[in-house]
Amino acid sequence: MNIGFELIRKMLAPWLKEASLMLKLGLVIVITIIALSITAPLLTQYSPIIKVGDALQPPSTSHLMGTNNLGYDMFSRILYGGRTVLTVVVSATLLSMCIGVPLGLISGYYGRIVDRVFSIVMDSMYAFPSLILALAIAAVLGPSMINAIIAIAVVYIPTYFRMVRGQTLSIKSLLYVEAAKAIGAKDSRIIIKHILPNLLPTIIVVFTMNIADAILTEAGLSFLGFSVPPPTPDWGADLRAGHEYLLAGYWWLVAFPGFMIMLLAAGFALVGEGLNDILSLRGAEKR
Amino acid sequence: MAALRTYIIVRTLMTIPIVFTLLTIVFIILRVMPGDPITAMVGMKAPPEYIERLKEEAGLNKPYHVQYMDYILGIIRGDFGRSLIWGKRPVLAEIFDHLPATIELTIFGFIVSIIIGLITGTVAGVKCYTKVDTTLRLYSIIAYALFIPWLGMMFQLIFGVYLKILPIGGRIDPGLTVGWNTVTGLYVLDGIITGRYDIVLNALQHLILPSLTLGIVLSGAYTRLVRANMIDVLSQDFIRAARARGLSELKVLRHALKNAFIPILTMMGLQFAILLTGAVLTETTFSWPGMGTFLLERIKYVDYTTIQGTIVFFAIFVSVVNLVVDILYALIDPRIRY
Repeated sequence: MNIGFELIRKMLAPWLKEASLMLKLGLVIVITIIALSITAPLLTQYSPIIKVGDALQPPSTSHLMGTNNLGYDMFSRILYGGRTVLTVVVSATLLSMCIGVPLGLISGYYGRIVDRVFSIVMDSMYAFPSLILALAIAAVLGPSMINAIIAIAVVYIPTYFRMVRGQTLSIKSLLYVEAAKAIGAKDSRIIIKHILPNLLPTIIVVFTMNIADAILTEAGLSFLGFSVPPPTPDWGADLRAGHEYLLAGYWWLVAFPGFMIMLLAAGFALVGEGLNDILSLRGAEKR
Repeated sequence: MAALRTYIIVRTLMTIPIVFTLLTIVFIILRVMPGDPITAMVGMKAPPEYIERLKEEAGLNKPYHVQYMDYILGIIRGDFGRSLIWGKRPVLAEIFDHLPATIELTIFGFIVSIIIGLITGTVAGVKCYTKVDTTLRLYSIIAYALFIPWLGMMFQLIFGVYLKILPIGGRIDPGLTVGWNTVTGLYVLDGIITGRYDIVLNALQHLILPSLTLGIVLSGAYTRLVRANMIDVLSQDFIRAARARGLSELKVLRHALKNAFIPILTMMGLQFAILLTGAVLTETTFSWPGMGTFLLERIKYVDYTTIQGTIVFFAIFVSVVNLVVDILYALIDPRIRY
């Protein structure tokens, strides 16, 4: 067994290296942005929503990323904007996880009519363009942070549901679940103690990748004017505001907010990829 | 053939509950959910009589079950209601005015993404587990993480503002279309049909930046899919046999690509929804007069029936495209039958 194990490890070594590289890179990006957002008041003396100087100044030593059309400091808006984005996105994805996972467990475990109904609703929502769905919800509820969270959360419930349902279906028929049933364990106990723990690794991977996607959806919503109302700093909204001044060549108004959106989304996607590589490798080693 | 026919019939019938569910979801979002759409869109400060009048016009004052029946029956009859503003045109007519612009954009965006995806994916698949592969994997992640409006604006800055070689907004120079009758609404195609090559050229110029933006962002997903399929196909016996017979590497690759393409087709169905989401953002960035710009404009003017009609149209459109893709898939791959 030892020789076989060693052999597999040697074969997988280059993979592990790559996997950890993705994960490391992603973690560095994500942790840096989170740290910058949290320590924003220490890093900049300017408030993001107060006029601090002339409008439309290019980047300089006193205003690292310049000032916008209202004379707000862009660097400070980027830092504080990170708070807005992270708050909305993490709350929304947690909310959809808390709804999608139990629904998927119930649907996959009990099957029958419940499963049919849930599945068709979730599949229909999954097939629908996510931003348009979020847009419709946000437009009805009106622009605010809570409403943006709800809109994004609803859109991603099917992602968790489909994954959890599928896995529950396959785990349900495994011998140890049958055994638990045979000795008379209650359904709730089987679901929570025997099925859910097996799903956790996948849920974590899906959660990180989902955050990446939600960052882009949040940016889309706020770019279209359906997330937090102004003057709250938010990358997507800043991008839209800067678009009006693009023709005049004020590049710093759009370059920085959009770059941050990409960086944060890529960071979470990298973490998700890295975790996925490592977890699928563990599965391979066990076999 | 009988099996194929059965498959097509069953798959078509399956679309009905899906469309029905989507319509119900749209109804719940727009009418039953807490908060009322008209007040949310007009703003709290509007006089109550004005809000009441808008609600009356949109039929929002009736009980839910009556509203629901009216809504479903209307859609079955093909009646999407009339716009609440500007001459009260039928919603469907307004949708068909804006649909060709979106279709033209999505077709070109799609072509760009497939070309980039096929090239990068094939290279990554052939060179799998090398540095090239890792780099392309990073590319696919970054392409996915790019925010469409940002990429679009960077293109606008470089090609429109600094280099001044490409138009940064709109579908065509306004002067060109005077006295020109469109046939399909797709400008490039119409230009070819009517022999107006100046219009074809101008429309293509306007298409370059938006379709590059949309295409690059969507290409990441194809890179990965093509790569995974290439690795899978390249390890199969028929490829080894082809190599053993001494076929050139290029010919082997052609064999492989053909087989790797089937799963890619299924993904196109799923990608279509993402394509539409991307199109909404691309349209807003490039002032492209398509469905996305149209929907947002009407949300701003609280044209309630049009908003509902447009979203319903999106729902039906996506379901039909998925149906068509599934049938195409069945035609190509004889293993898919009931």
